[in-house]
Amino acid sequence: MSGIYPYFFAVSRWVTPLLTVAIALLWVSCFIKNKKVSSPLAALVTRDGISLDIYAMEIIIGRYKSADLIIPINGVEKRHALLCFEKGHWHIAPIMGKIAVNLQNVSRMAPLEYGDKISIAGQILTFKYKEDENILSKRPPSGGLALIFLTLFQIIVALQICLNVWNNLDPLIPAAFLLLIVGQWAYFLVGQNIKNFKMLLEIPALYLITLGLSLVSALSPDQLLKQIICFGIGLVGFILLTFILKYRGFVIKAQRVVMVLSLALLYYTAFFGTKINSARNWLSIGSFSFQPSEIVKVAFVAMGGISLYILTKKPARRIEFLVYCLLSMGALAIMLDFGAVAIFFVIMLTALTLRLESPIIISGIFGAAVVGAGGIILLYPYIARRFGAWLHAWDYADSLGYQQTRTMMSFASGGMLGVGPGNGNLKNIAAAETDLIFGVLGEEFGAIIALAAALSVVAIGIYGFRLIKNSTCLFDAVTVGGATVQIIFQTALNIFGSVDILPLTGVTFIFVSIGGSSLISALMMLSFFKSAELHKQSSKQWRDSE
Amino acid sequence: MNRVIKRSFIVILVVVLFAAGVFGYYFSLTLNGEGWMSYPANKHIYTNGVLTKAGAITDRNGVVLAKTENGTRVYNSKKSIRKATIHAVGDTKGFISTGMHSAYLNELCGYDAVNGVYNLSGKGNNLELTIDSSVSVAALNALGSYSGTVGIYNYKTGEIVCMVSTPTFDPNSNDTPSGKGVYVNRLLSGVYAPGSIFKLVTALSALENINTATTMHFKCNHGVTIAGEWLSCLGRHNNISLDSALKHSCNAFFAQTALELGRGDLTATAEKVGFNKSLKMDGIPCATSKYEVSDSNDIDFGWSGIGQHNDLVNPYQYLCFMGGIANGGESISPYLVKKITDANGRTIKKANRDSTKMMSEKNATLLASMMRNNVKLNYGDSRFKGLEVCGKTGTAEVGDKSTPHSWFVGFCKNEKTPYAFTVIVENAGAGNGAATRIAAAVLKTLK
Repeated sequence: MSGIYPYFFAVSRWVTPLLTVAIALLWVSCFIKNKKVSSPLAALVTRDGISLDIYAMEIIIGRYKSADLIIPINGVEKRHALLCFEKGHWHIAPIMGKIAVNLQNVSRMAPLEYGDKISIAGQILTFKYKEDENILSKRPPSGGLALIFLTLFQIIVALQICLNVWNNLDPLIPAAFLLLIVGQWAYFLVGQNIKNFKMLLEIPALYLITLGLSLVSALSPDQLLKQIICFGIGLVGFILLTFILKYRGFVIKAQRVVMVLSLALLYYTAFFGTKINSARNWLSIGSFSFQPSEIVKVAFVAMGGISLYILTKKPARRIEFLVYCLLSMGALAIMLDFGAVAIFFVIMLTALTLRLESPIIISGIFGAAVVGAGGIILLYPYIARRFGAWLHAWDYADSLGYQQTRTMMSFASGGMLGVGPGNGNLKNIAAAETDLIFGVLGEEFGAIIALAAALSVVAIGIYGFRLIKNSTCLFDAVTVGGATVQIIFQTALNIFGSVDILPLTGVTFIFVSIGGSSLISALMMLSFFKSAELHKQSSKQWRDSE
Repeated sequence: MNRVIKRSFIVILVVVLFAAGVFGYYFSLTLNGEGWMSYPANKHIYTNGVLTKAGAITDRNGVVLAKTENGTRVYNSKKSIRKATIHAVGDTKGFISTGMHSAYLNELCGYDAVNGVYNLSGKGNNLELTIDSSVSVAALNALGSYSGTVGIYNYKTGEIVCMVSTPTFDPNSNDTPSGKGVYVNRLLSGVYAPGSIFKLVTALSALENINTATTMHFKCNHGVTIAGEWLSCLGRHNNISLDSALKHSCNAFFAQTALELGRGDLTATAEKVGFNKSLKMDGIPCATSKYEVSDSNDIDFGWSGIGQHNDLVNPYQYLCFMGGIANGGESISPYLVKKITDANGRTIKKANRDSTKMMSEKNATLLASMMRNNVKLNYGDSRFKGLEVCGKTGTAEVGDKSTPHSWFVGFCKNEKTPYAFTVIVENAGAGNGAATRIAAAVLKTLK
């Protein structure tokens, strides 16, 4: 059987990039066909019958453009009142102006029913349910066709790996691929029963997961079992978190507990953790060790969402969030894990940029960060050393630029189509399975599939952007924003660090780098996207179910 | 909510920046990928920094010049062949950048941008060169202890049969090669003052631009005064015409011809035959011959017309020029790689023919007959029996007090031996000496 490997590979190395192109095109087509048809959730109707439509679950009523719902008449304040959907009901609360509901003055958040009459600056507006105007006659594609091509891709890559090591093949390798294929189809079929379900997020994620599984099978099959277990944990985490995020009340209540727990975990690691490769960011429990910062990253994104969620109430939450951010990054700095500091910082900055009123505060924070980064480089010479060869890796090809030059050299050796999974040389270099994985991809799978991996991350980013654009809820917008930027930024640090476009920081490529903690973290990070995708119309569903 | 949605542009900005970075990297990969791949730490093609994954290199008769055997790179078993062909074949560590091991590394290793280093056989490709190892050895022996180069090619087909450069070294020896510029292939990468061989360019320009070129006369009084300064000549040629001036290599005649032509016309002719151009041999960049007189005064311009002043000649460029005269004005570009075959013997690539029109057929014939006369009446035709050699010698002053370089350039008119040649021997004295002797010794083996 192993005798046919050379011939099988010679042909199939052309097929996998073609399948990749097909998957990419199908994804784009699915993305376009799923373009949002925006439909209002409710409306305020004037006495003259003019309908002011409400498209989001948090709405500021005010006089000027800065408001979401503009009533341009005298007596209406700049930020007059807040209309929001919380715990299954619409609510209204005054901000700067006075309001009355059914002629009763309202001073704090009050529930609102359809048909209620709201008085604002002498105007009476009726709160009404809005019927869908654009009911789709045909369900848009949910990505099943792309999944068929992805399955073919998986089968071929699995065969390439198995035939290459046929004589001492670990049966776990084909089993893992089979599990992935069966699992993804089960997921897809179950998803068909969920309204609004589509595979726009899952296709690029599954493509990356397939590459990750292929690399662990070909490079270090001894880690495969651990990787499968972590995948299982991550998957359960993904489903649970997606489910939990639906219950905003519970999430808000859990916030402080999660903050305290995650800080405790980070500081415990910072002082009692295990040091691997100059950073003390590992925690070992028996023979099992993991990177707490990977898991805390998920909590971090959620905390941003919660703290910046409620529109006007409790500004203390924001202070609390800032303190939490600083403390978290402090712990990571003590660990000397500056890649993680940068990622946490970027998540924080994204959340604040999306949410905070004043651009001055945001630029202030950014400026402080630049100064801080400069200080860190001065304080820690080992960081400065990494900058030493930056952009000049070939001048230090056998010293400071060793990993980067080997990555580029190997990447180029693979050409467009690669030398085949398991047949490369870069895998023998330290940290190739994590930090330099992009080089391994290029060498063994070729430049086309490596590009597809990078573009899968772009696809997740573009999808995240659309989710924010279409989101009806601040929590969704802020968490998806944080998660998207985190995924892009981390992948950028990984890819560009390994090919000398950025300094090498030693962070992972989501789903592709081998490592349990980062796999769990990456899977759970997707919950924010999925939750936003499914949450979009929950206010409608609530009405429909009544 | 509106503000959040407006601010979300920062998210797409990050996505776009990332995508731009990825495409930037791929752009860099297309430009530099081959260079990255050929870094000697690449275990796909090197073992301990020595090139091993490469096919065989053979000469035109199938003599193996280099091949990979048991994981090492081995050269021909004969020391003389190794030394005579090392500049064409190249060392295994990339010191000789114009050698096949460096310049044709991709082809030898079977690397291309689509397949990378992968191929089904797992072996590299073979190169069949146009050079003849025995002619090369004859050239090496003829050069003896001199530094210099002998380049010979078939001006009808373009095949380079001899490309020997000295000083040379034995790649099998563990000693560090010594000698000035031992890794330089002087034929491709050398530049020298041309001396009298440049008179061929001036003569051609006269034929092209002066109607009475074949009948006009200039005075030579052991030299001539130009703009108040003296330009000396080795002889007193009195009233001399073009054909006899070329035969006697009269400085006064050609300096005055240059002035008659003017800077523009002479530069135009020089550029037509390859001066001031980045020539390539089989894709390998060569050193550039220089003719630059736009800022020179009259006396310097006069000297430039006889190959002094700041004139510089690359021997390969002159080889092409000689081929142009020999082939009726149409210079067939010389090449070294006859064909590339894969491990199973299938031909992947054949040499592609290319040519440059350098001059009219009439002027080529006129120049050729004058060069033929040079050999008959000056250098001794009996030294080149049966070859019908046409040629011109040159003595290139080196500036300091060392012995001048010795040039001999030309071609065989005989249909059976259609070869053009350039020979330069460093610090060997007058052209009609070491260079003609060496040319004669090598050309004899081509019969």
